[in-house]
Amino acid sequence: MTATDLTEAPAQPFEQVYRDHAARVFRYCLSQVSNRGDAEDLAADVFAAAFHAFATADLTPGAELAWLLRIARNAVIDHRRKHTRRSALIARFFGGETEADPKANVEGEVVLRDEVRRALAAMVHLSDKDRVVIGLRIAAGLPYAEVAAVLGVSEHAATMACKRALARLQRHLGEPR
Amino acid sequence: MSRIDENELRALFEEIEAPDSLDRWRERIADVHAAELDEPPQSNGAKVITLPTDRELRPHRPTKRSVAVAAAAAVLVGLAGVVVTTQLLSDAPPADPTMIIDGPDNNTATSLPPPTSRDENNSGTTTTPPPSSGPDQPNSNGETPGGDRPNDTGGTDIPEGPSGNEPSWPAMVGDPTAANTGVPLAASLADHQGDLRITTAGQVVADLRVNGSVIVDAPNVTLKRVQVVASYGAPAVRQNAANLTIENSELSGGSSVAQSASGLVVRRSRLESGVTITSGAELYDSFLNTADVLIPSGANSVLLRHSVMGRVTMNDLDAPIRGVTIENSLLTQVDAPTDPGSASIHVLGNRFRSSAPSTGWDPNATDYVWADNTNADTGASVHW
Repeated sequence: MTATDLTEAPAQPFEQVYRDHAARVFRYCLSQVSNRGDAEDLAADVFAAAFHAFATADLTPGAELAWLLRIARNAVIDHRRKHTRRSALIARFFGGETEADPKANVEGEVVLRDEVRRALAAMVHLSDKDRVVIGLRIAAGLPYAEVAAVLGVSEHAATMACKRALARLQRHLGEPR
Repeated sequence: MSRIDENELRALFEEIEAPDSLDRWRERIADVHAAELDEPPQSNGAKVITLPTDRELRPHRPTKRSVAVAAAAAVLVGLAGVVVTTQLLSDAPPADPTMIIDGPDNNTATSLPPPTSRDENNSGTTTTPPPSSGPDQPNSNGETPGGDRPNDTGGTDIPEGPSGNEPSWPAMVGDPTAANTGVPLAASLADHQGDLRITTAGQVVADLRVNGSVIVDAPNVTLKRVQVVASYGAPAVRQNAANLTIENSELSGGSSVAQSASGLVVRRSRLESGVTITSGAELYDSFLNTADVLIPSGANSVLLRHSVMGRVTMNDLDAPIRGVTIENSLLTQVDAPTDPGSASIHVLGNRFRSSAPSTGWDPNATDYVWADNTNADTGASVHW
């Protein structure tokens, strides 16, 4: 995108999109990385990427959040890839606990309600797919139709995926800690 | 939080505000030549995003991004070519605009041209189901929906439609299959291209092949010997009004039936794409193969009898589900509702194709009954 493109970009609409959806995108990121600092970084990356793509995204009204969360989903995948590599290096050269220890991250978080921290701690035991589904449905608060839109599946499939992911989360929450 | 309350958890997440630090995204905008943006666009007095002036805040290299943009453009062009080619090569006829059936005569099939060798005697064949408040509520014909018991052959003694010359199936023997459900072999179907919207109460639509969706906007509609092939992702039948009856029909699409009004009776039909059914739904002698049945939050009085299906998922995340009976069927799994308010879930005399016949089953929940269920392969009794 050139500077000329940027001058033609609909700045005000994007500002509005940011204001409307910042919290939900942040909550989704938080649900995926279970660490507030990383979630802030990720969410900022998402909006930076979204800003560049916004002018050409051809979004229909009301589709902005699903679009943002698709970007967020990809950003989380990138983040995990980098994080895993970095943690492995740290563990290899310095020993001890890696950065990837989710419980350490969550326990260090004192701003969140206890129930949320427990849910986040349990979520790290889920598969990536389950975590994405719960992040979209619970953290971002999407209706099933929009979960389906983000995942690219039918609403039926999205609903069942949510149900099963929550059942598995329930099992992890029920385990002794 | 020993037990997940989805709504409570969602509400807790909603309390989390976006931190101020999220504004850092503005600093991360790459390739912005701030000097060229000294004159922001005029936008009717609207607030304009302030872009950073420090070039050192730009983390990305333009060259790499240009290459990425070029690659993305190439992929898009390729995809567009595939789509255009697919469209050109498709032999599907173009869809007509939605047809609306709203004529005064509610006992004729449609205003479509009649098919060859088709029995036109539809007069008096309307079989309007009553609003169903439960599997055992009698209907206006004096019958008991769901009250008919399995017969000796494993089928159910459900009337095969009105007497007369209408094509029908012989009594069902054994499980429903692709060969003994759907449109009877003797039927001759007219064709309709595009969606079919039904707006007349009591309308009977019979002997029709629809290349599109059937949208039911009026109550007490009956679909008989109807074959629906909906567009990719679209439901074959969308029920927006109460008391729909579907008999001897074949439905395929993104889902076979999307029920959003109470009262639905499906008999001896082939539902190839799974169904979403809710309050007052009754499914008899139907073949879904391994397609799933979804019962959403808030549903009550649902009966699935003598049918073949995949999973039955009862999703009570938003509201409890009450009064679901699954019996004498061949299926993969029952995903039971887990909300404390859900009750009266009966799973009786079924055969399960899975070694894990249920998830979420709580034998201590109110009126949860699991009895006489067996493994489809071994015949051994299976527990939840």
